[in-house]
Amino acid sequence: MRRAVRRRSSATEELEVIAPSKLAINNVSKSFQSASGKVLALDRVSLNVAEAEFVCLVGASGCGKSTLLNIIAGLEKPDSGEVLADGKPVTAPGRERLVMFQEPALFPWLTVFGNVLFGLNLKPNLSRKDRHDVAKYYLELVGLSRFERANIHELSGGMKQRVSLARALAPNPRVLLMDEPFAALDALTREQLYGDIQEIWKARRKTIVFVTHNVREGACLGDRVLLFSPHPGRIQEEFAVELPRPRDINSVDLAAYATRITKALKRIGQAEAVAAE
Amino acid sequence: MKRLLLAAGFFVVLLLLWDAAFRARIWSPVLLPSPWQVASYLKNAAVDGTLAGATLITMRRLLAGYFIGLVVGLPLGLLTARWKLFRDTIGTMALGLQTLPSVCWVPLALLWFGQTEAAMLFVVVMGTLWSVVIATETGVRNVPPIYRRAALTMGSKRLHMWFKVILPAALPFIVSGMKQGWAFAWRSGHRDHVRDRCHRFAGR
Repeated sequence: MRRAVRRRSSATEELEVIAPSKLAINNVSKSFQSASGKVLALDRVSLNVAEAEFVCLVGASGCGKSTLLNIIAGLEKPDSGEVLADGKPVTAPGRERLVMFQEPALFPWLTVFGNVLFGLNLKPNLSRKDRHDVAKYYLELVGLSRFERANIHELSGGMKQRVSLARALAPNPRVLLMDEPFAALDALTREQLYGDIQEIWKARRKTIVFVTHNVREGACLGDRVLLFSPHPGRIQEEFAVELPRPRDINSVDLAAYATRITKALKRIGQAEAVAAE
Repeated sequence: MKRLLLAAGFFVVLLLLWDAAFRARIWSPVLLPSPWQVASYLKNAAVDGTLAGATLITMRRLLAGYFIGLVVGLPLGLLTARWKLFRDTIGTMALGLQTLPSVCWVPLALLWFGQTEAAMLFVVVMGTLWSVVIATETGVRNVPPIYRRAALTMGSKRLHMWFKVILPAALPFIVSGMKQGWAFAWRSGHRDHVRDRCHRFAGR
């Protein structure tokens, strides 16, 4: 007699490169109540992101770019307007769109491996072995296989962000949302990660929205760089970065782009963002 | 080694001082027995088994009371952390009752339960319960919001969120509350003994 086989997706299937999402942000507004009154964090922001596109949002702190990222993630709701992921409105967080935060946000009560496994354990139809295989694959991808049994507090800042990246990639999201993930790292570690993230993006084909206040970082990583202005948060200008990949943060061509973007930033009255660099 | 010797020396000196005070006969031997008398009493108690028996009973009372305090306190703490209604009611009550020294419960326990095991258990439970409730609430409310947000994006919800994120994140606070609860249980245990002895001494 033939045994009934329950349909399960295997680790190999799970590791397949899936189609990245298309994002449409339509007229999104959001305001906050602060001590000094109502602050308009986002004012009718519209933006389209193509499948597998790498978009960088650049602007000074407090210009609403992180708020926009949270709204795309579904962690916050807009006052008006909507976010569509592949045509479907985003109403709640979901593992299709995973976030990498500025602070690593890793769970200190789990090991490195346990952290990468966390999102996978919430995915149905996977066997224990598949989950472990997938977690191992991503730890390898970020170059931390040797540290899978390590505790979080034993890791350096750069390693923590690598684990965060592996954790965000493991459930195979269509969109990766990155909120200044490298801002707290030293320059050397950051440069390594610029190379790694470009490689991983190429290998895993994700739609990436990347928030930063670092113009050069934006020019190095993004297909497009969007400039935000604060009070109220708006997208002011857009730059397409047409340089071959992988890009080197220290290349002369990149510096030329960064200079142009910085000039534009100054023009829209954001000198403080540049000063912060 | 040097530290050990120093510590041993300190206690030897203490014993000698005690012995000297006994020999000086300032106080009656009933109020201040010599260290050797106390030692021989302990030795007899150990030999005839009463010491071990009494220790067992004390530990049993303590552990039972502590366990009840934990089992009731943890869920109550979670409730007060999660819902304002519980925070304003049970939380406020816990705060008030925690400040009460557990010796205050002794007369009530005697009135309600009489000279029974239940009375002692009640005093121990009252000593631990409230600090566990408060520690759990504080722990849960101090969980960094970023953990919740990260877990939310990965699809964690409701019970999974509580058991896999919030409880483990709050554990350091909860454990320190449990330690405090243990200290309180221990003290209320002693109180019971003192009370118990006094009653026996006075022929009840």
